[in-house]
Formats: sequence, C-alpha cells, structure tokens
Amino acid sequence: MGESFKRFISKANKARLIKTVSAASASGMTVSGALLILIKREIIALLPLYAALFGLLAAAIGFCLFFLLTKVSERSVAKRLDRELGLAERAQTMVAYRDVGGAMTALQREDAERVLGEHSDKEFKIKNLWIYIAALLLGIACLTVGLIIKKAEWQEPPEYIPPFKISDMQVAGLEELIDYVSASKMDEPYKTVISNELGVLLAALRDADTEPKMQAALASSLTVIAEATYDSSSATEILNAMWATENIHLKALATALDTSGWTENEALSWGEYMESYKAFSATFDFRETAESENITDAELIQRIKWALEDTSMKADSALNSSGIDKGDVLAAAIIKLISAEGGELSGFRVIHAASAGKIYDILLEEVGNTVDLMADELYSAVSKLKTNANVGEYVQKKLASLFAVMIPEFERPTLKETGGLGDNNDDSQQGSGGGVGEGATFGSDDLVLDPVTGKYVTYGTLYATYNTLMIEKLNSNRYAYTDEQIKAIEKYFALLYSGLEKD
Amino acid sequence: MEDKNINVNAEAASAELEEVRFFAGKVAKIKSELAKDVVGQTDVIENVIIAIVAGGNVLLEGVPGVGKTRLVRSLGKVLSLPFSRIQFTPDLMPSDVTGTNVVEKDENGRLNTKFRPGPIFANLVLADEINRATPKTQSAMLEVMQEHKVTVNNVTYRIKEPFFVLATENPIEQDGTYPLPEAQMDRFMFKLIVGFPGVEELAGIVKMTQITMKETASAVVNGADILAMRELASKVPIVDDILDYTVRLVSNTHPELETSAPSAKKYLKYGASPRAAQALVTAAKVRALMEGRFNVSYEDIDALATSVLRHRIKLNFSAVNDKLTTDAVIGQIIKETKKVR
Repeated sequence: MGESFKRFISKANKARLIKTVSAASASGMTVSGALLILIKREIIALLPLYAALFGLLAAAIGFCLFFLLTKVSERSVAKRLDRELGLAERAQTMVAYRDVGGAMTALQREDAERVLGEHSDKEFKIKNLWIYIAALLLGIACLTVGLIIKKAEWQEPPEYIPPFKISDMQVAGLEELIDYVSASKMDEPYKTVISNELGVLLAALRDADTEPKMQAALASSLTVIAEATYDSSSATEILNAMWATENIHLKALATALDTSGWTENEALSWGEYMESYKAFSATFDFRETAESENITDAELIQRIKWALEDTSMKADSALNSSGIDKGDVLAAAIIKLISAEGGELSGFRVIHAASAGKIYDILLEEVGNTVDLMADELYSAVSKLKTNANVGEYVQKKLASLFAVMIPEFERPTLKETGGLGDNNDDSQQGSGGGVGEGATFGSDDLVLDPVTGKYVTYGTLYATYNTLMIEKLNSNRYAYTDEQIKAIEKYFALLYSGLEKD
Repeated sequence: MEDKNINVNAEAASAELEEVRFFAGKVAKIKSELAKDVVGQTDVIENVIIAIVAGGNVLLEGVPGVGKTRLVRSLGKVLSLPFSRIQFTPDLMPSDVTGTNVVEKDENGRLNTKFRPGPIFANLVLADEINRATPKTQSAMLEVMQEHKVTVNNVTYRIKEPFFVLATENPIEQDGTYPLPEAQMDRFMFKLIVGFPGVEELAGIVKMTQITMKETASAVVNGADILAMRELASKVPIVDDILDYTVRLVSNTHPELETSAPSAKKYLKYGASPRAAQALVTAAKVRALMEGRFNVSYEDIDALATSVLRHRIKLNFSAVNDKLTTDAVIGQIIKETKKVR
C-alpha cells in the first residue's frame, strides 16, 4: 500500500483513538458526576468513593466498547476516501485489488496513490467529532456539578393548606338560614344571637381563603349557636314558671280561703296556713335543687312530676286514714297542701268543720285550675325550650351540611316526658301519638317537618293525617291492592305507630 | 525472487502504460476525425466509440436529417475497416443481408454452387432504417449480431473481428415499419438518441456542408487497434461493490421481483435482460479508460445506464398515463438504487 493511503489510514487511526478516549472520558465523567449528584441529593445511599470507582469502570467499558465499534479497516477508509474526496472509487479498487497481480492493477494503484497524494490528510476530517466534543463537555459539566453541588439538607415538605373559597350556593344557603332564624319562633335573645352569629360567619367565610380559616370560623359560630340553643337559662325559665305557678297557687288558695272566710277561723289562721304552705312549697324547691345538683331539664321535670304524684298520694293516704269522704274536695285540696308537713293534720278538723258546700266547690275549682295552670306553665316553658332547640339544631345541621363538616350528636333533653306531667294533663295539648323514623324515634309531640306544607308539626298530627289518608285510600276501592300489599301498608303504619305506643 | 517479480511487474506496467497511452491517443484521434464530419453530438460520438471498443452494436434513433447515417459513414472511414451499408426496406430478403449460394461455372465449365457473402460480411455494418425490414429479415441479423457468424444452408461462416452493427431508425414515420423484436433489441449494447442539434451546431452543420457533402475524416484506427483497445479495457478492475450495484440496478428494472425498485413496479411492463448488466460493466470499463482512470466507478455505470437500459425495458400503461418517458423512469430507478449503495 502506498504512502499516501497509509497517511490516511494513520489519520483514521488517530481519529479512532480521539473518539474512543473522548467517549470513554465522557462516559466515566458522566457516570461519576451523576452518581455524585444522586449521592449528595440523598437519592441513593453510597459513599462518594463509589462514584469515582463506577466512573472509572464506565470509562474502561466505554473505551473497550468504542475501540471495538470504531474499528478502522483499509476497506472502510478507502470507501470514505472515495466518498469524501471524490476519488471515483480509486481507493476502493486499490484496496480490493492490492493482492492481484497484473500491469493494469499496478497502474490503478499508482493512479490511486497519485490522486490520493494530491489531497491533504486535513481534508479527511474526523467524522462526527462535534458529537464527541459535546459528550465530553457534558461529562465535564456533569462531574463539575457533582463535585460542587452541596449536600442536600432535609427540609420538611411545606404543609399543604387546602384553599377555600365560599361558593355562591353556600352564600345562598347561609342567607337563607339567616332568614329562617329571623322568621322562626325562637325566643329572644337567642334568635338575635344566632341570626347575628350567622351574619358574622358569612362575613368571615367571605374573607376566608383556606380550609383551616373556614373551619375555625365555622367552629366558632357553631359553639356560639350551640350555647344559645341549650342556654342554661332554659332550666331557669322552667323554674321561674314553676315559681310563678307557686305564687299563683298561693294566691288562688288564699283567694279561695279568703272567699270562704278562712281567715276568721281561729283553728287555722292565715299565718298557720302560711306555715303549712311554706312546708308544702319546700317540697317544690326545685330551683335550689337544680342549681345545686346541676340536673338536666328532663330530670327536673321528672322530679316535679314525682313531687306532684307524691303529694297526691299523701293526700289520698291522709284522706283514707282520716275517714274523710273523698268527695269533700276542699278537704282533699287542703290535704294536698298540708301533706308536706309529714302527715301532720292538726288543723284538719277545724278545716273540715269549716267546710261548707260552695266553698268546697270553689276551692276544688281553684286547686284544679292551679294544677292545670302549673302544667300549662311547665308545658309552655318546655315547648319554648323545644322550639329553641329545634331551630338551633337545624341551624347547626344545615351549617354542617353546607360546609361538609362533622358535628357531634346533639345531647338534647328528652322533653317528651312533659307529656306525663300531672294528673290533669290535657291530652289534646300533649298530642296523641309518636312513632319511629329513620334512625330516630319520635314522640307524639316531637316536631317534624311536614314535607307537603314545609312547616313543623307534631309527629302525632302528621302520623294521624297520613294514617287517615291511608285508611281512606284502602277503603275507597279506587286502587286495586292485593291482600299482601294491604298487609304490608298496614304493617308499615303499625311500625310507625310503635313509637306512639312507647309514649 | 521478489525483486525479480517486482521488475517483471514494473516492466509489464510500463508496457501496459504504453498501451493505455496508445488507447488514449487513438480515442482522441477518432474523436478529432469524427469532429470533421459531425458537428456536436459529443455524447453520441463518445458512446459510439465506447460501443465499438467494447464490441457492442449500437441502435441510433433520431428524426431524419440529424446526421445518423453520416456519423456511421464517417465512422466507417475513421476506423479503416471494411464497411457496408444495408438499406432496410420491406422487400429486403434475409439472403440479401446474409448472402446466398449461387451457381457458377468453374474453369472447367462445370457448374458449382458457391457462397456469395451478403453485405453483412464486413467489419462495420450500417443497418439503415432497420425497422423498415420485415421481421423475417430482421431476424436474419440475430445470429450475426450476437455470435458474429452467419449460417446459410447449414454452413456457418464466421465474420472477421472486429464486427459491429450500427443501426438507425426513425421514431416518427411508423407507417410500414416493423418494430424490432425484443430479442433483437437486446443485441444492441446501446440505443442512442440522436437529438436535433442546437442553433450553433446547426449553423456549423450548414457551413460544413456548404464546402462538401462528402465525409472528410481519415482512417486512424484499424481492426487490430480496436481489438487491442478492447483487450486492454477488459483488464480494467471493478470492485465487487460496483459490480453488485450494477447487478442490482439491472434487476431493479424487473417489476416482477420483490426487491425491484418501486418505480419499476409501478411503471414497467418488463425489465432488462442479463445482457444489460454485461454490457454495462463492459462499457463502463471502456469509459473508465477513456476518462483516464484505471478502475470502474459508480459514475461510469450511472452515465451509461440510460443508453444500455432504454431499449431493454418496456413501459406499462401507468407510465404512459403519467406521461413518463423511458429515460425518466430509468432515472428514477437509478435514484432508488443509489439509496442503498
């Protein structure tokens, strides 16, 4: 092979070496740099020494791989020379026929050498050198970054604060709720307190931009509303009603006695009566009891009921032991009043002696009225309490629903016990029914929302309405019900009625 | 021993170099002599010279008056070879071409049959308007064009080398013509299109013929020279890659082959015969020497491909419909073959 061709072969070998060294260095530096970065960013746990070792390994593998891949053959160089220098396949022919004898091939070789000699080896450029330079630069950059990058310090990920923006629907819901409270029969000042609090909540939620802010505002408002719903003064109200009742009772009795000329009787003067009455009233001293024991409204009502029943029993007992005719109502009423003295009936005979037909009737009526009035006052107080609770709880439930938050179950006093208050309870006032609903049992006088009118009615009334309607429908023969269907409907209504039976 | 071999090779190379110089000199002389009678048409002249050196026949196609016959006649003078001209006509008989046995009296007055050679028995035959003869007469040319021998009455007569047929045909006047059969077409190494001369060339032609209508070229090459040049050209090396490329190029013209070029599949009815590949390589070697090279290059193959292939392939209706010429389709096939070079 001629010198000119050898010159190009040598150039090709140099290019091969440059490419191989570049590629190997680039591989090694890239691997080292990448590992260093990963180690320092604590993505992998390795000693930095390993980065250097793996880099060397990568460089060695890269060297061998590239050295083999970029193998230089005379044929490949000849082809490149023909293509890049436009030698009209002289070089390829020279290489292909280098071992073939003959004058023509000798001439061809000479010709090829001559043409090759006319070209400088600079014209035979290193192919794709820029790729290797780029790879080398990348490797250097990678290693530099790996060396200078600082070790990452652990940082707590920023706490995610979910954003919040009150929706139009929530605003509308709140405004509707404010209107509802304002239009409700809730007692003052609770109505104003809750209504104002809802206004404050709406303003706060308009400003709130995160979930925590929303929840804080909501929690604050729910607390205020809950306190207003179950204000401790509810119990006080009942006691005030009771106290008022006692006063009326006292006045009624005094009036009755005065009318009958009771004060002229020496055996039991007014002052004595007062003594007796004080003893009687002591048994009704629920205010102090409630305040000292911190009992619930339900317990308080229960105790009143028991006290009345106890008084009645004592009176019965006294009448039986004294042999007084139970029809002597005045006597019975007086016995009721003085029974609190522990069966002391010292003035009984006098009273009995002084009893006369009309005064008995008046006193009987007064006593009856007093008991009824007492029951009415209590019922009124409890109903107020119930209305307040209904409105307050509705507001809380609605708020929870609007803003998708959980609220604790309501610990509401069981007010239905008021239905058993006293012997003279008016059934029409207490309602006559109750039932079971989904997840709750309703008393006959529990207020429920009538789905047709949208107003609150007692469960008993609602049940009676629909029960009547059901019976009418079944009896009308307008609809063809099978026996099974009729049984199922009746069974369903019987189930609804089971709550009433509990009362 | 090795030194001795080197010396032998050096001597042989020196001798061959002399032959190459001789080759180049002869080619230059042929060109210069032809230039006296033919204005322009350098490509046609170059290809005709290639065909003559390579031992191939040439079909010249062109409209009347472009100098086809003059070129061949002038070539006959330059080559200093026995030259005969056959004007092909529909009533020309095969025996009019090949020759026939005639009855003659000898010196003793006895009648004997004697073969009288036809005009085909020359080194350079001009078959003028070859497509005007009947297929029967055209077929009489098959044996002589391929095998350079003539068989009459079961007697085979060999024709002296070198032997070439230079045929002409007119592509316009088709009335009363008989298209050459594919087998005969295949016997032509090249089909050369003699185009209408440019304005300057036409002016040169007019000026030249004002002086004399006769060819003025002198004989510069004889048969022995041509055979020596052919022998020299056959020694030009060709690398396997170029040989493969040539073979692939020819096989790519076959639409029936799976590996053929997409253009061939689309536009060709049939492809070139193996003779095309042989002709390409042989002609490429001559061209390489004429270019002053001692090896065949891709360029030689590409330059000659159209002349070698254009009469060996047939376009289908799609090509006609797309208004493509044979040369255009060959160009596309060359491009498609180059892609995998």
